[in-house]
Amino acid sequence: MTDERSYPRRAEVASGGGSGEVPQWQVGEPLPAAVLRRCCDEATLGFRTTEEIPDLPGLVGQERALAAIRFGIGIRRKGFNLFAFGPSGAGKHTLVRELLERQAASEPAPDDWCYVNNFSDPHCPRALRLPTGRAVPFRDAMKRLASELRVALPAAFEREDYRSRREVIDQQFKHRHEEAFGALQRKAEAKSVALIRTPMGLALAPMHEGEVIAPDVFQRKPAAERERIRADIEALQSELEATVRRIPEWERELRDAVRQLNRDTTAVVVGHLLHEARDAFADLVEVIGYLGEVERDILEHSEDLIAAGRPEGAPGQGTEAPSVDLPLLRRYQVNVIVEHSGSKGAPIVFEDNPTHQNLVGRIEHLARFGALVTDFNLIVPGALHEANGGYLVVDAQRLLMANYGWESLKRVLRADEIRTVSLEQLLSLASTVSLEPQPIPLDVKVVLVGSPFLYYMLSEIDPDFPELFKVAAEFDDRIDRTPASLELYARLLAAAARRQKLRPLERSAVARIIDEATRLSGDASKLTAQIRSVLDLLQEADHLATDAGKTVIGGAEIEAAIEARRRRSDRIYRRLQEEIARNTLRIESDGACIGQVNGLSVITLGGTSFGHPSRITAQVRLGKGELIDIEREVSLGGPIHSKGVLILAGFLGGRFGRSGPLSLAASLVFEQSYGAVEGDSASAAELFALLSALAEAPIRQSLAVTGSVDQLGRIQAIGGANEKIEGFFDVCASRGLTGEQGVLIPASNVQHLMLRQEVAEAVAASRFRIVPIDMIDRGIELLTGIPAGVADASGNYPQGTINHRVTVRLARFAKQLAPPPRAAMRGRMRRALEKDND
Amino acid sequence: MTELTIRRVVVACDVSCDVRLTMNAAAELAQRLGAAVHGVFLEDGGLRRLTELPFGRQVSLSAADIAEPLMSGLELANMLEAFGTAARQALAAAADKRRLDWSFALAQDVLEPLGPGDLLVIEASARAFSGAWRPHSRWEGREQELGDVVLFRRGGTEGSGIVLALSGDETLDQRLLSAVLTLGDPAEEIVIAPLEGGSSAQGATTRALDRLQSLGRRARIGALSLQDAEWLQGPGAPHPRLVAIASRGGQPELARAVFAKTGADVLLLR
Repeated sequence: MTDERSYPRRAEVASGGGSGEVPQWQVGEPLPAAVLRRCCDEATLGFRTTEEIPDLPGLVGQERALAAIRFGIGIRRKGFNLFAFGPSGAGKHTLVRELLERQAASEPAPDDWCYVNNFSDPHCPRALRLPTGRAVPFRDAMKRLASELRVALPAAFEREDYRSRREVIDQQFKHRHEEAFGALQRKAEAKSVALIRTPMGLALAPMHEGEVIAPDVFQRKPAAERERIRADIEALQSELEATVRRIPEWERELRDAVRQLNRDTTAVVVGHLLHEARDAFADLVEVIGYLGEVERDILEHSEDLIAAGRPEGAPGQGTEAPSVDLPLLRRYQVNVIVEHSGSKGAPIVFEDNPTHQNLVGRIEHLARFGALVTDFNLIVPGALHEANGGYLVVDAQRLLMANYGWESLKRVLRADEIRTVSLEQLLSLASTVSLEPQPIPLDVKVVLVGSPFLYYMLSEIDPDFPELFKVAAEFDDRIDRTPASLELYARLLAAAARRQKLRPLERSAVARIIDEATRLSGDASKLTAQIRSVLDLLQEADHLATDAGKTVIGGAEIEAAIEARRRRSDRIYRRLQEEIARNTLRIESDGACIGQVNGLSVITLGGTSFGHPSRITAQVRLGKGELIDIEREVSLGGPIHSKGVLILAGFLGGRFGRSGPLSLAASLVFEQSYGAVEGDSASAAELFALLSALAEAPIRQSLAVTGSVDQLGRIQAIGGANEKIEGFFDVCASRGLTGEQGVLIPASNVQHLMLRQEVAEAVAASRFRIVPIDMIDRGIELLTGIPAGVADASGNYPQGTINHRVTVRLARFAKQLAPPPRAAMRGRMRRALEKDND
Repeated sequence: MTELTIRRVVVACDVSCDVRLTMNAAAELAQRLGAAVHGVFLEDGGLRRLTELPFGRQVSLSAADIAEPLMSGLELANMLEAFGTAARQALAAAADKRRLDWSFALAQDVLEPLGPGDLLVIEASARAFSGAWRPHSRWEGREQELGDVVLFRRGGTEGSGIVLALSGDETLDQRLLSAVLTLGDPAEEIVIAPLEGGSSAQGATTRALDRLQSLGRRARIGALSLQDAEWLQGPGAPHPRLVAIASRGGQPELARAVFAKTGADVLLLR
């Protein structure tokens, strides 16, 4: 019999969350069915369908996160960026978006930005800031300028007055040449000397009878004549050289004259074309300054504009008009990086692929004649440009996995400016000359959304993180199940149904969803905050309602959707159940066995978890206090499992080893387990198997056990209680429920129970039982039917109790292990020495 | 109508020519006329003699010090051989591209005699030394070598349209007219001018005008004489790309003067 003083019965009362009174239950006694499944009473919901209830803005039960996000959004200080984290599917993105949209709508749209050519240093394009909505008109004005330049400039250079002036210059130049060389030629002819072409230039040749004099004829001439000819030739040669030396100067003068003519002609055209742009942007000093630079540049490059427009292969006469599509004209274009014309409020940008380039922008290149070329027109904005003056929302995991996304974002936030630089340059992998656009000042609030793991990891390992993300908004994974929260939950469902254009929900459907949300939370007094899973269920139910031709979603559709979802993912579970039924996996659910107990574990595969019974056995023998965890020995046991087994050793030592060492060796194993075992939820079951083996007391196999134990023998709560119970229930149900079968669970897990309806029904019909226990002694009594026994003042246990039987067994081991008497030892030593001497 | 039949375009070049442009232009002309093309590279005897004189020097814009000693005879020979080879290759490429029959020859100063059906292209793409100035042409005073049909061709002229200068000799004028119809583009304007005064020339212009208009060509009669270069190049002048001259007396000097002053190509038929 148990002693009320050792482990007093406790009464637990749980709130039904709007589902009515929860019946009393007692430790060590089978739980009433009502405790096992706390259904939402649809009658307590004050509506017939969700059409009758208003939307719920935001989420239910995330007040902490809500306040943090509001604070994070509101504060405009360096480093006060926001990290919203919580379990997947908790509605983080939705809430962040809603709050940002609300905040952004009340803020002004930021200025526009564009890149223009830096005429003094084209490698460093210049960033121009313009008031909201002015960038596009500016771009259009410059585009119009370039377009008109394409027409007006050729027209100006084709006009008769330009041609005439140009012809005059050319004629003057030709005339100068002809005059100089013609005079020289005439002078030479007067002295019977001809100017003749050589392959590389000109030469002076003495003539005789209209031909260059033959050498023999020259030699036959008198010496004086030859000397005269030589002197004439030398004099003419000097003049010729002097004339030729002036040619470069003449050509330069020609170029200067033509250039000045072209500048004058261009100035008239450009001044007229720029007039309109100057008027339109007279209020913008920077733009006016830039237009002045444009004008100067066009004048400086009028020669290039004309030359570039010359048809390919044509001789360089320089009179052709510029082409209408010149790369040269690109320099006068405006590259609008970001513009907010028509925007209402601050921008909110969600970047799905936050790579370095997608964040800070990139510089694209064009392939031209086998080379890659670029200019400021090929600067492409990134998400930070788009979000500047507003908000940037990024998924933390994607950011960390994207190419240098995290490093780039930190660099930008630290510098408070966006510097568009290629990854190759950032990593110093490229030595080619590229653009270095002028950085754009940054004013952005970055919101990272991610998992708690990432938040804590970054906090731990990245010293920049706390500096740059000072506001943490943590989303809860579950919320309290109270009448008030149920009402909000119903409104949340109503809003979701309307937003996703689903059918309205009957209140029975809402009640079933609440039940499922409770089950998903793993706690009867909670609701899951992972809304995505609930909304998915809603969509599946809506689909079923469509098939059924219904106008509303009823409870039946919800239950069918839950069942369908379970069925879709239970292949492995069914296979395990099948193997147990066929005795391939040996699980006993009747009879009794020494040193063997049914433990329960949870297997999680993908998004599905299910319970699974395992046979735990213990063997004891003479030894020196070793407790061997076979799982650990073969490296299949995780650290927490090993810790649980070591706690057992602590319990045994504390209870049975106070007066001497434990002279036993024990081994524990999960039979037919071929994978890793982790967690301590089987430690109570392992202790029961061990005590059974030591006391040689058979354990009822109709019962399964879950729970962890401490060194004092107290049973502690575990996770996945529902799945574990259902796992053993399914095994028993397949073999036929007898009423003897059941599960011992930690009393502290009773509040978490939200079992399947069929389990609750079997319990109500006394065909299955679930018994809460709080102490190891209460459990062993239920499992063996033998009292555990309470030690008296001398530490002795009553005869026949489990503890007494264990004590006797351990004493027997100790006696066997005790050293032989000294006399016998001396005799054995003497005989051994004599044998050596022989 | 009496046709001008050209069977061979003979193109003469020397060291002053851009051989690629020269041969291309000649081949294009031959293609238009349906003729073969024959290239001749003329080696200048005067230059060879100059190299043997004791004081030969030359000036060049590409030389380091502008003036430099004239090359030796051997160097000149090598250079002329290289020029000749380049000319031959350029002609082969231009002709093969157009699937023309072609031939090539080197000549010492003097062209081989030209036959009927030969059109001689001279001054082809001769490079100016500085500005537009060129030394005297080698063809001056060598009219006997030029044959009956001569084209003074510069290539790449800036003008447009054709000026047709008629002699009054009906046969000669008709042959010239047929040549112009072959060489001109249908859309080009043809300005007809009498080469000399007199009723025969006036009658020839009228007949040519009728003939051209009957063929749907744009044509008019020019008011002034061809002797006046201003009429060709001054304000409001035709600025022709080709001046075609029919001359009973030969008159290569007139053709040369028009060629020198106007920048147009000149076709002389005699």
